[in-house]
Amino acid sequence: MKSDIKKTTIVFLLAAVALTVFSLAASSFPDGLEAAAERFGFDSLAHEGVRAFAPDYALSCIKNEYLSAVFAGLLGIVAVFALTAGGFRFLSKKDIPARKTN
Amino acid sequence: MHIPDGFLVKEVFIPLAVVSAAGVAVASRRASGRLGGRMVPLVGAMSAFVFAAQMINFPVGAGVSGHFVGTAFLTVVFGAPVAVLAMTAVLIVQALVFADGGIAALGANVFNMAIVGAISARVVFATGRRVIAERAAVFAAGFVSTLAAAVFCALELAASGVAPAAPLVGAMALTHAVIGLAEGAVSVGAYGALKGASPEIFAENSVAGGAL
Repeated sequence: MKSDIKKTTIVFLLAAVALTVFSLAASSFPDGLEAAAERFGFDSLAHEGVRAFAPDYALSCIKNEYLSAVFAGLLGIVAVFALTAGGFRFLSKKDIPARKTN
Repeated sequence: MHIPDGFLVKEVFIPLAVVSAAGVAVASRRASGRLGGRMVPLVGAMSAFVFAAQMINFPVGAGVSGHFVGTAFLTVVFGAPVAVLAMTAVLIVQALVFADGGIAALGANVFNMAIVGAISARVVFATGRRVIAERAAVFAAGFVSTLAAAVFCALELAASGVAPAAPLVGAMALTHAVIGLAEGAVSVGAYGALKGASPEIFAENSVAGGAL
């Protein structure tokens, strides 16, 4: 029974990694909000206050556009997993310290 | 529907940041101690999956694209408080690392996609499954939560004076109704697969579905 949850966890992580491979196949059409911004003429108001590490899901240090997008995706997956798993571990104090399984 | 910096005036984004901070604090308190330790890596994996799925924009017609949001899916599996926190983490990474959604606008984006998205999904799912089939309720939760988030997004933009409210809300609602259909379909598929593969998650999870 226990492996059930573990297995599902691994499947979701693998699915996330698999999705990064398809990220370049994503539609380059503007999304719903961008399209509305263009239509109502306020798209030019957008600006980046602080320069992000990998704007638009591309790592500037990798020349190949495809690999850059894939590694940006992987970086995001690691960051989100670390933040959520770390944060929820803190919140779910109940049975973490008591048992030493895994 | 990630709002970049520059679209919202401070009279709009500051109050939303305060409300979102309070919402995240409430969600933390409600989620605290209710998620079994073995579920923690699963929540992390599902949040990472939601992040990756959000990178895949699909065309919704008329030269416009949309992507899966994931709030409703997380809500029907783990309940609204956990979904709010997981989506907030996704939005933080998107804003700080990838400039997807502004930093000043982070509170607004958390409010729309995490808080409004999760509460509307929870209400629709909890009421829906009493009157319709569970999977239909999941679909409805995905549809409504995407639409509700988009409408709030449009109202905030209109309040910031970038465009008149009625046509902007109409345009955003229309495109996100189409995106919402896909959101509902993906949510049902993922929910069904998860329930089939791992019923244990739903059996032992005290926060599933109904939690607010």
